[in-house]
Amino acid sequence: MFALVDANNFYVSCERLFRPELNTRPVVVLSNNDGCAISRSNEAKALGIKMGVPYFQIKALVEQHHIAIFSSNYTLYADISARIMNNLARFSPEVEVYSIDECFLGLNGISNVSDYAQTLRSTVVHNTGIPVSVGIAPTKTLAKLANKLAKKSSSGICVLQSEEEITNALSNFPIGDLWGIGRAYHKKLALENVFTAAQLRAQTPAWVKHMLTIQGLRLYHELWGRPCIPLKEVLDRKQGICTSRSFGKLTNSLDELIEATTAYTSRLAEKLRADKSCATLLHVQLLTNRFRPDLPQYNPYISLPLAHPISNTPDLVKAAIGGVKALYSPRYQYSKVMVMATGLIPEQEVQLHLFSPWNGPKNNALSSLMDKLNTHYGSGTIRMASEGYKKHWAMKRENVSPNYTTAWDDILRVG
Amino acid sequence: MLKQVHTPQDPALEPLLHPEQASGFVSPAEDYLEGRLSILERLVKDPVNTYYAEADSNELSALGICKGTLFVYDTSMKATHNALVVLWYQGEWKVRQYYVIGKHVYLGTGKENEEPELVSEELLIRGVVTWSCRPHQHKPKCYVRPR
Repeated sequence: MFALVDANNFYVSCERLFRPELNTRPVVVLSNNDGCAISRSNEAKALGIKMGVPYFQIKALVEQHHIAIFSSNYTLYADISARIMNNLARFSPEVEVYSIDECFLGLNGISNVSDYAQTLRSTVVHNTGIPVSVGIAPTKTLAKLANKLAKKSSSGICVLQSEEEITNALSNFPIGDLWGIGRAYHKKLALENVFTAAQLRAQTPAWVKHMLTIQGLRLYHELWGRPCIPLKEVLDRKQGICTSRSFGKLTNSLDELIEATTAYTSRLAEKLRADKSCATLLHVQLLTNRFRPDLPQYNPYISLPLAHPISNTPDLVKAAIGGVKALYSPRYQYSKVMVMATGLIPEQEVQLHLFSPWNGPKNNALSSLMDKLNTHYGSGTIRMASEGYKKHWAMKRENVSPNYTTAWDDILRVG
Repeated sequence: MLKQVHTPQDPALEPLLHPEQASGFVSPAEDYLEGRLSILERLVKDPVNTYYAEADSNELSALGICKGTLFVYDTSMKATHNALVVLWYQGEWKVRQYYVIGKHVYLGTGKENEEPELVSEELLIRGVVTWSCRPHQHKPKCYVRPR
């Protein structure tokens, strides 16, 4: 048996954790740059605020209904998530953290699954203060489905164990809500008059494979209660690492683009070093705002092969700035820069180039010193000068909450 | 296994990474080294469920808690009679002494001339205070070797 535990309206729940007066008010958390609604309390959902709706479209509604608005505070969410995951992991040796707010647990050898689910849920809710839903079933796909049903139940728990329970659950379950059925497959299946999970399960395996490829076939078997998707307890080595963020405002200044690129590339380099990887290819892309069709669009892209596999900040930043300069045209208003490293190889397996100069040891030492200082004194303590100081391009976060659990200045004040 | 709670070494205060390594004579203490005590081991039993808060008033002075006292609280612990709890009460975060007498719940500040307050509403208790750390004297900045 598998359990899928999922935090309800996770970002909103994190914000409410330290502001209980918001427990009865509608709350919305916005994406980076205060763009779109990405987490909504049930009250906000009831007001008709859809997932992903742009903030400017709901501003009137926000004023009218006194909705609490937050900019996303991923520092807070990541810490609360780590606390939830660790509390969950105490319940099973088999754990797969699936996303910031979802976790699969293997429940092999547990006799009374329902009791177990209740203890698990009440413990996590008590310890973390975050409401969670628990779905339990013989396969991961069914556990995911059970979790959706658990969200609607008052107990927050749904166990699909017997053949009958599973058949009942599938009968009215919309196919588009199944794990692994995206929009394209959803449409394709609708054309074949397949609208529910039960209808899909009634097909032959050959038909399913023909329509949805081998992945669809796995899904089919999982719906029949035959596990095909194992728990992923050890993550694959990363194929690529990417940092991209939108700016707080549009810009066509090369200086600002270079500052932002430096900042993102520095972060990328830190991620590479944390992963103990070196990059052989660096990709840089400039993007204009696609939500502004009135402005000319331009999304140039460049891949830069690196002479040596590297993970040090100075060399990566130098390469990325070279890329931005090559791509830049002053005629456009840019909203975003993306920097990505691929062709990752483990740090210990780096092969050097015979004919190009190599100042790796020096820059690597510098980078590891930067990491140490930034860990100790807080990130951003030491950085490349080309990152600039004013950060005109920095992310817009007008309603960000305090870092209650990661900054001493922000801890709760109690009377 | 939970992540070990530890403070990274500040190179300004502890310039030597391995003070036990001697060049002339091998240290006679080599086989007897043990890690120095860290207060975190005492204060934080469950890092995953431990949070911190700071007293913003002298309301609990009778309990020896003054403004600026740091509370360590554990959200996994259940509030029991006489516990010091972190709670949301009357629209504010507070730390209060928690009493259960029969079916009634009272909150108090420990003051002798003050009766604990009978609570009728449902309380939102966030955690149980495990330690309070009261500041006494702050050491002036220590000498740091010039770099």
